[in-house]
Amino acid sequence: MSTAPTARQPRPARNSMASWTVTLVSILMAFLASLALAAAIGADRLADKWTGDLAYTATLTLPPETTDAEFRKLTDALAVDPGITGYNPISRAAAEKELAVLLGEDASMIKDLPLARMVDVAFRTRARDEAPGLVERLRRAGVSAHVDPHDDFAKRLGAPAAQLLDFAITALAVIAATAALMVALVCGSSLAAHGEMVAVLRLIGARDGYIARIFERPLQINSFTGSALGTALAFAIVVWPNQTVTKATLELAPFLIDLKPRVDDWPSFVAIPLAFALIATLAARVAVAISLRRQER
Amino acid sequence: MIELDNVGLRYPKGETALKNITLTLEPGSLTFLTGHSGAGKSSLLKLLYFAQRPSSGRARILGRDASRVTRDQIAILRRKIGVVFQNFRLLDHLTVFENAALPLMVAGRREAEYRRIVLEMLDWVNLSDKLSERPTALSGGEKQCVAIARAMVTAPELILADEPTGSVDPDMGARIMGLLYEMQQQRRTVLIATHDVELVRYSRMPRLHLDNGEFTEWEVLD
Repeated sequence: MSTAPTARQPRPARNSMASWTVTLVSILMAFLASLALAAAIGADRLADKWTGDLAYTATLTLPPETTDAEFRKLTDALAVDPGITGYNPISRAAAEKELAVLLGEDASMIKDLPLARMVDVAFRTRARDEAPGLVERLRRAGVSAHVDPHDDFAKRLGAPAAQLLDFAITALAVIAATAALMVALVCGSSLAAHGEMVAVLRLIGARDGYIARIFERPLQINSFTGSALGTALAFAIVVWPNQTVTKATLELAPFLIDLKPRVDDWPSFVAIPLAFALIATLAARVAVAISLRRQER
Repeated sequence: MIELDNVGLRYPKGETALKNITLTLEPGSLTFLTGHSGAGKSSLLKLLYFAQRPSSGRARILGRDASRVTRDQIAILRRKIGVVFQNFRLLDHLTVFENAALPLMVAGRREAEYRRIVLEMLDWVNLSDKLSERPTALSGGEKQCVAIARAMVTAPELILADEPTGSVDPDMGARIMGLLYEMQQQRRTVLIATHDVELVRYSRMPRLHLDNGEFTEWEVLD
């Protein structure tokens, strides 16, 4: 008697076309999913920053004719105010620089414009709730200042960021549904192509779940491999240094953020191939269950 | 083992395959089932391996009412039934060893457990030297031997053979019949569907004759 070869678990005959289809589509879908995820993470962070940071800040303005002594009175009052965590007087030069963005660098008239004296303040609680109290406290200290909470501005900025997040989540859902549909179609065609194998397996006592697992396995592997490649490719593009917001940009426009995924975001990307394998498993299981139920006993 | 009482089988399209079939097969019996093509032999075998539910009458197979078994119960019951077909129904992308081991894999047995059984079975059908071959590399007779090994590997209580010698030469046919007789001697219940009356006459075993879905004879041919 010769030595017996090792028997592997039953498997469908290799179908290169089906394997490549699942692998290539998984690469593309995972690539898109990774970009959508990066967009979702960025939009979420942007929405958080805009609605979070700005919700706790306000700008205090005093008339242009305010003297330095009066202005110092204000900053002294702010230094001991219990409702704020910090304040930052905006210099004339900084205000002119911001105006220059709107009016152009060559706008010589900026020098002659009467500019309000401004101070950025950060509150312990929401600016909208805290502003009236601050105005009253300043009034008692002999300072008349107008407080402009950033809440409304934050709300207006937060809305498109939240919409961007919704778009990204919708895109992820569509990608997941498309991947599931693709796997179900490939699984259905694989079952049809292996009708004899299915019939034989049932004849020798295989349960539906056992048959399902046989057809799931290659789809799981191809889907996981393809999506891992697609995710790696997209991740490389997303974290590519040239694509990031530079420090100089952030200094000029502090309300912007670097959308590049941070290290603590990386596990979300690792989850993409796992999610694809799970989707492939579930889609294949449903496709096999439907197909087997249609067949005779 | 098998008790059919006035069983009828009608396919969904309305065609009547079996009528008023009453039959009892005792453990350890070997019975031939004869009849022309379309007489209902394959339909009766399908009913016995639970591929069809009786449309009327009462069928008890391996102690279970064939009308009431669930899909999962059928899977478990089929592990006690070995089926051999004229066209072998082997999986061409698996090796001889894998084909023969398939019912034990499906039953969840580990390779360490079934390896010896499968090797013994393939030795019994004289295919020890072709373990790694694919079925496409085998002759018709060798393929049928693999199918018999596959049917026997779970030590089933019931063996159903549908024209097992139909696609092999006479010498190999005699060898296959010899294997089926050996199964009966091991106290298996064997039912062999064939249209080869000479084979039945030579065996001197009882035969059931089907004609147009009904039993017309039950006899031992001399």
